Amino acid sequence: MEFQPLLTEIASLKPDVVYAFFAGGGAVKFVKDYAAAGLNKTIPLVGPGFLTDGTLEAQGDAAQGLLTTMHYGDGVNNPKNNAFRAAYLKAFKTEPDVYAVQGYDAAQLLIAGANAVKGDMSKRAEIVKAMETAKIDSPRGPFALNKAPQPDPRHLPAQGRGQGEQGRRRRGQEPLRSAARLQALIPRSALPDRAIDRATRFTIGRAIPAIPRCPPYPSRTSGYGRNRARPEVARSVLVGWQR
Amino acid sequence: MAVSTHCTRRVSRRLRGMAVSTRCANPELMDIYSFLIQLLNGVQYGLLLFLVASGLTLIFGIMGIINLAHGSFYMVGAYMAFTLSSLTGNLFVAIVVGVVLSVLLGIVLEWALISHLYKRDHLEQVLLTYGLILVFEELRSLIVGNDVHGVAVPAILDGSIPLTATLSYPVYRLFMSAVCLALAGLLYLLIHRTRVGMMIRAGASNREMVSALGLNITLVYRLVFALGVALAAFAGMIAAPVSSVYPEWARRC
Repeated sequence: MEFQPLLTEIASLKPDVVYAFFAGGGAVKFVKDYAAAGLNKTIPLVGPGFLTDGTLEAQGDAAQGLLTTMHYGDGVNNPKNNAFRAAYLKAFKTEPDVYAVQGYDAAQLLIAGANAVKGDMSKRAEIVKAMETAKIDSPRGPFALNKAPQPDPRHLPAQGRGQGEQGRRRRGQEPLRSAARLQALIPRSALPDRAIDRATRFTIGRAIPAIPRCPPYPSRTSGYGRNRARPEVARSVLVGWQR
Repeated sequence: MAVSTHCTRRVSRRLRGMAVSTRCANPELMDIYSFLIQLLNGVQYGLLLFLVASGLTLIFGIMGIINLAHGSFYMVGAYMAFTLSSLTGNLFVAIVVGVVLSVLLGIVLEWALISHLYKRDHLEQVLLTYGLILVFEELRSLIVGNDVHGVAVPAILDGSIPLTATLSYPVYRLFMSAVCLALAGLLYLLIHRTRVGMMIRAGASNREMVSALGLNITLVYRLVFALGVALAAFAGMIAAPVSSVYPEWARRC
């Protein structure tokens, strides 16, 4: 797995942003190589949270300034998450990842259902009802199920609520623009610490439907393995860069 | 740059709904500068592969042993670089200690297992060395765990040389290339210009005759195997800072 040729192509294409989906070893190597090639100074690297999930420590300083999104991040700074991480580390001698948190949330939901019927699991309808109304105190922030039923973070910290365009208009406030809006919409606690400094420098640009993708290399290369994820370079994206 | 203007045009045509090919990285449009950088990338990676493969060829070429577990030794090197550099705080110290340890590992393996294979056929060597892969994977899992690790580039080599406005080349990769070239030279000198090299070459062509001349061929083979293991481990240690240290490293080689 060697990213140098791809990084060279990225540098010559000069895209607005690079979106890369890697996990595990590939994520560590790509993020480190990307930073070592100096690309992170001019072309922001974004990706799904798997790019940094469980790999932040190995990536070290190279992960500084990455912007990733997922329903959980290692650095969520709230008392519940800090306690969860400490307890998990103590019990399993390893850092929890997103799957650990998912399992923890699912178990809490099950417990809420089981407690409501005092352990009598034959009362299926009551269990379901209890789970639907349960308020789960998750390491990624409190949530409850909505009608769908999907986890719904309707108990987000106050700074994240009512800061959208509609809410502010209703109160006669000017809708927030760009960076300020992003800051208001995403509670700081939901972002990993490392992402925050740079996240505030992002600004939401105009969304372009169906992002045209331009593979910077022939689509049928064999050198990197057929099933290996490769960075996709988008030429026009949702986020712009503000210096 | 030629490539980017070409791509932009393609994209805008696609946006207007015109049927055009999705391929836009036309190699002919690659300018000479990009070509040279890619050449540098290729040479650098080739040198690293040489370093990894040198131990394999040494063991196969001289001893006639098909060593499937070579990737495992590469992995052992990478994990040693991670463990020892976190213990000592210095990659260079880790490499020195790691080379010594891998030589010892090679000597023990040759004495305990490989030395019984010289008179047997290649299939049995394949079986044993494949078994070694599994053993090393499990040992790695038991000792270090299954997490992904990274090794920091030593501070002294942690710079980069700007090549274009956007791209720079890490100094550590140049260092790696220099180390590979130096090692190639040293190997040449060892095999072709020293007395030990002469014994190794003689042993490769006729084991019994060398033995009859009063040379300790068992010891020579043991040293060659240890050298092969050390080369693989050394390659793993040198490559660790530009790679990630993770499970299944061995099987990727």
